[in-house]
Amino acid sequence: MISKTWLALGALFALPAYAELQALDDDTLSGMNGQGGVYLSGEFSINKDGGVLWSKPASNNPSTWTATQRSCANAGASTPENCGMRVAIRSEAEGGWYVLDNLKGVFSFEGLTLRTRTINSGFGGDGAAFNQDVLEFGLPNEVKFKDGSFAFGVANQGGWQNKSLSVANGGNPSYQQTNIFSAKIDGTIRMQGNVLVFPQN
Amino acid sequence: MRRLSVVGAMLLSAAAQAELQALDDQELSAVQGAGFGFVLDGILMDASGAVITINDINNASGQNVPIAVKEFYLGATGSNKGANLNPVNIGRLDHPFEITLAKGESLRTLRDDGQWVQTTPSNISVLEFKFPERLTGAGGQACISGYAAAGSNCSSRASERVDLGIRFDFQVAAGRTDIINLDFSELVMDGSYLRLWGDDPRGQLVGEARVNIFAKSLQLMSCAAGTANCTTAQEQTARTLTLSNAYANISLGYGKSQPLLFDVSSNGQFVLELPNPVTRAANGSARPLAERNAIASDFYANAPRTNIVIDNLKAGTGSFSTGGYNFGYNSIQGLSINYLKVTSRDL
Amino acid sequence: MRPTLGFANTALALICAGLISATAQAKMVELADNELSEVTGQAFINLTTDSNAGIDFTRINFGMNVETQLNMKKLQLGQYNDAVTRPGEVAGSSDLLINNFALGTVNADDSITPFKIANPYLELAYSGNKVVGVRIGFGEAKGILSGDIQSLTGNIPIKIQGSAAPIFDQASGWERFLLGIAGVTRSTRLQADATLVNAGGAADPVRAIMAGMTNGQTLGCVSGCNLGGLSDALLSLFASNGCQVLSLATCFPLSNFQSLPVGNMAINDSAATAAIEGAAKGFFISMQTQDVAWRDTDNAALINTLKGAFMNLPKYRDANGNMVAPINIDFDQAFNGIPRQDTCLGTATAGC
Repeated sequence: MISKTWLALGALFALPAYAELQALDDDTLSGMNGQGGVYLSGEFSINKDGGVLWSKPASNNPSTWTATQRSCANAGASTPENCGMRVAIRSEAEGGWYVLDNLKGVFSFEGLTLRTRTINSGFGGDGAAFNQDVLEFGLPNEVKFKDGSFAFGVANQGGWQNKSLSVANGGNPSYQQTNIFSAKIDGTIRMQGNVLVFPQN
Repeated sequence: MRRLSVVGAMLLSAAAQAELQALDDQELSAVQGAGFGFVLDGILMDASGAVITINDINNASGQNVPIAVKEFYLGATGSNKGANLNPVNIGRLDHPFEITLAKGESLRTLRDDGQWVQTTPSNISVLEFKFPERLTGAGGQACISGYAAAGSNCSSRASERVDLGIRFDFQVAAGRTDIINLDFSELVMDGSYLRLWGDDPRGQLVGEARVNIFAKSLQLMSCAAGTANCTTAQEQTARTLTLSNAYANISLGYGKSQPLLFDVSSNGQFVLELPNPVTRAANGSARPLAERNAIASDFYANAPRTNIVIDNLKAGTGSFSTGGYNFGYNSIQGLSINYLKVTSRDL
Repeated sequence: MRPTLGFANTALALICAGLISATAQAKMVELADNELSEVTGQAFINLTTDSNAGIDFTRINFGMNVETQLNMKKLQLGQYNDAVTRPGEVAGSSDLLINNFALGTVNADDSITPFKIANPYLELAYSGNKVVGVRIGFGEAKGILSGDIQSLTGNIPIKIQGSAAPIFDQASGWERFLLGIAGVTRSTRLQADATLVNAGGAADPVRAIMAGMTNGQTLGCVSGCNLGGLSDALLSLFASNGCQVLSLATCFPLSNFQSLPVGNMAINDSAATAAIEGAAKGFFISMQTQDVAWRDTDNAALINTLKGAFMNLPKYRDANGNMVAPINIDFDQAFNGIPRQDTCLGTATAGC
């Protein structure tokens, strides 16, 4: 049985080596119609149980953390929290960083569709003049978030450093991050409709 | 299998020999702008089933003041403050939302007097995120229906206007929650854009932005419908600030001589800057008088200005004798910024 | 393939188990107050609350330093005709109307002397759950404010202080004689308090078009009065009445003052401190549906504002602890007006 599978697989791999791909000419290509589409449902989580850089400490007091610990709980919270993903961008030579911090949570959706569509009518009269193909993304009926969160801020270093620890202990007292705002999202957002995408010159 | 690996090796070695070479200016100039447009077809969004909390705003003792966001909806006009949501098309096929990469000299901005002018510098590549563009001429729509002063050069028709609502609950103190319940009616944002490009002498990303908001009405209710003192229509009206025929054209930056600079300083604070257009030249030398005058007159003639107009601002019933007030017409017109530097600091 | 998948599964399970067990062992420890502020990144916005006489206030403070030089063709707030709230006002007038409004100035070489603002805030006043007022204020403000002021509603004390020479220039022979009797010479320094008035000399904070001495106000002696305390007493015999002291005008159209200094320009701002040295404090513009007493952010006193649109540019405590007026002009500027400073780049000086 196994050998048959390997033979079939081998045949598949070998096939392209024998068959030569030839380009279709434009006339033939334009005669082809797209059909069908894609229906997607998915769930993905980012750092749901914390990430790889920092482990969750025992308290929310930064001066008690070790070099590899960080809690991303709010000011005033009594329990520490795992930290999400961090993205930092620097838009200026020798400048500071824009930071998208603590990006985490579980995000799931059902019913995201993707297909091509020819529009040559409707849209209050615009469709007839438009007369083009578009890529239609059908929005999922529901998007669910669970414990989603992110923070947007600015910092003077790309990577996070513990301000309350000395350099010898793995921190950096001169590290400064100013959070502009942060948000938490939980629950279901209902939506409906399509996003039509087409090239523009 | 063996043949496949040989083909693979050939491909790899071929790639290794190809070297990337910079395009010279002549070749670059042949590159056309390109991008894609998108239109929202039959959109409706209702986030009333989700709990969204904005954090990181602290009170005086350093504790977080959570702001709960509720009743976030987007739908067609006539939704009666979100009670009756219907899908809406946003953007037109010939004036869609756009994300494009274009040459600076091919981009245009609509000036207050209806002329299209170039505001971005030439010979650079600009990344542009754009809302549906404005439409001058016969097809232009009134940006606010029934209010001519807002202009008639929007492209979105009545069926492409939205109702948008959002409610913020601030738990400011124990036992006290401030509510701000915003409801936009017939909202359109045609002509808004964000343009970004790299500035070599400054060594950073710079930009130019415009935010246009046109709304037939914006209502700000300071209580949550259904709670104490907020149940009858009369009580709700008494607690509502109504802005009618309101529009804002906010212009930040004029690419040719005053790009918008957003930096993060080395001590972790953000700095937003609109530099003096006639500041020193790239090599640091002071500009001669004739050049300064020329830059200044180009700036005052072509740079878009900021206007914020509220045709009628009314609190409650609008009559003082019943506890309301009618503040009438309010406006800031023709705001032009020669210099601005905003630096944040910790509180 | 199957064996590798199995290994991956086991590895994942082990990692998850490790994480879960780690969290189960973490103890919850309460944070002391001084530790709380260090937990997350610093913020530049904070929210404070206040309460007075049944009105609750919520203020959003922005930790920002702003330097700007800008021009506006028109700043207009509160253009309404209402016989109940604004009886007797000219139809079509506004609570606040300034044409060609500018902040900051442009120097001859097109460099800029900016208007400086520190710690702006936005505050809402609530009566129960009804918003009765909103104000935008600046913790500190310093610079030149220019414009063609058509009407102003608010509290704007002006101090006129300087040598008496311009008064002598305006005075008739008989008035010069009277001033001489009071011990006042050309080099004497006199002072007067001015505020928003109407043409009859009564204080008129609503849609005022003139500023000057209110009825009953007198000139005071600062220095150089030859008769000492007697000078003050003699000067007090000549009180301002109907916008005149004797025949000298004591009220001036606001449109004469085309550039006003806000704060003390003589004190230089030090770049080393976040505070703006010599700044006027307590500047705000508010709109309220009833008379509201807002809290002064500088000295915690209450400022009474009138219903409608209102501009408050109050007296403030300077570095020596004295209450000083935010706008200080001399008698020459009072009589002859203050010309507009250049607020435009290039060839224009105004209206750009």
